[in-house]
Amino acid sequence: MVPLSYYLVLSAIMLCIGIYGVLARRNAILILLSVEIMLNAVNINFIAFSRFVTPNTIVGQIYTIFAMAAGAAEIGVGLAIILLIYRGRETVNVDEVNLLKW
Amino acid sequence: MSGQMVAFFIIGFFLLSGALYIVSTRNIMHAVFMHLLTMSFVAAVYILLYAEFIAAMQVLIYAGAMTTMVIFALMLTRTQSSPEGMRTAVDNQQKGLAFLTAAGFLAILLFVVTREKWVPLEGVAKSTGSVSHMGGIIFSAYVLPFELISVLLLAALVGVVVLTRKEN
Repeated sequence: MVPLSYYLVLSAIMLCIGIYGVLARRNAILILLSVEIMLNAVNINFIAFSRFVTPNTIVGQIYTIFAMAAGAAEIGVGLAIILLIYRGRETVNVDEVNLLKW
Repeated sequence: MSGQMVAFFIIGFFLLSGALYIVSTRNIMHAVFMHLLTMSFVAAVYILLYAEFIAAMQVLIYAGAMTTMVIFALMLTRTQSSPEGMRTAVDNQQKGLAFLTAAGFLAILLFVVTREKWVPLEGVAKSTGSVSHMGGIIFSAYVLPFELISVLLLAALVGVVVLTRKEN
């Protein structure tokens, strides 16, 4: 059986890869993909804790279902906003969208 | 080394290399397809954790639906995946800083995770990810959050339609 800390290390590495992607990418779609990586790292944590800490009342799995629904809503609205920005500015690079930047 | 351990290391290796590819490739289309693969490996991790229903949902929602949606968004925007867009960079100038931030955060997380002694509370579980078991819990104790999440999804649906509608 794989111990809990292995899953925690896996999801920590995955989360930090996502953080790097969010900070280093220019393209808004790639930033959304990186956010998805971070969300999935958190979901792995939820399910690992649900398996090892509360195996009979599977609270972590229920939370993961809700997090997935929220993630689906997030990526839908995010892509709609990206399409709007593209319509108005002909670009999806976030560093060229600087109207609100001091 | 048990079979589960071997499976964990194989899945973890492909999962992390897929995630690294997503945040480092220049071609956005490749990143999106690698996203599909990576999400499938996350589903494999869920199966290792005895969460079969979540694994199925993961493949349906993340690997299937989201990848399709992102591909549609890619086709509707001219980005670095098209030939004339390939010349523009996909990364900004703060790659070094981003790497330092991520590495620092990872160091903190790994310090906490490895220092703590994790003890399973209720012992080893049987397979508890079955649909009937989950359904019983969702529709008894978590029925209010369930209804709220459907309102959230409806609001997101209406919001997306309103946002992307052409004004005339």
